[in-house]
Amino acid sequence: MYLGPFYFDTKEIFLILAAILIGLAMYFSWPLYWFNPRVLLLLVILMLITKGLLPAIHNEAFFILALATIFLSLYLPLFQLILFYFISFALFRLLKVI
Amino acid sequence: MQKLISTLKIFLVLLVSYGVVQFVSFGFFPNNDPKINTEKMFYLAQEIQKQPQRLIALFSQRTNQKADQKTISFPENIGSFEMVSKGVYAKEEGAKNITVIKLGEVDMVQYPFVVDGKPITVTVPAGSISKEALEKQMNEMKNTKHIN
Repeated sequence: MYLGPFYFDTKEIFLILAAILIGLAMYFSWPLYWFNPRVLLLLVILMLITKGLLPAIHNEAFFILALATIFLSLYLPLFQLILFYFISFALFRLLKVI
Repeated sequence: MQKLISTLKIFLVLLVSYGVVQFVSFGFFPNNDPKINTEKMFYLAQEIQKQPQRLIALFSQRTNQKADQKTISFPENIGSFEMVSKGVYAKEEGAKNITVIKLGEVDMVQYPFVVDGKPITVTVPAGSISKEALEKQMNEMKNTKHIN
């Protein structure tokens, strides 16, 4: 889908939808059980930024990293989570996974 | 096969990053914020600096141990040595003076001391030094250490 000069694939649109839903959950104070909506929103924004830097061919590595990061958000504090996300990204790049 | 390797790499990266995060956040970011703990970094840097010295010390200690072993196994026939005192034998070979001390034959005495609140026992050859003289020497050594 084109939005102005930018092309968005389905996964990016889902990420934007997720960000909107999380935003609504924060606004209306909907409970997300064990998840912190602020942390999730920050992660979605980070994922959107990093996804914008990646070609679509590397979706698999990105998908697994996203899943692992969201899961770890249940256990790790925000700073460690962000470190984990960026270190994994850097290692993916070094090992030529992406 | 290529896909399998790629998937393995992905999981390896995730595991390694998790380990790095745990290590780094424990050592440098203990408060879970981006402020680096400089004290721990300084400590770690000091530890890294000490490593070569430790290696050299370890190496030289092993070399000394080997040299000691040679000295211990040196005289097979003690008969050609003259007995200086009980358990101590000596011999002159040209310009060399060789002394052999057989610890098993030497009579030893044990003196108990209390150093910095801890009980220690010092073993010395009998008649070589009195307890008072030994205590005096130990105190001198202790004082020298404090001055340095």
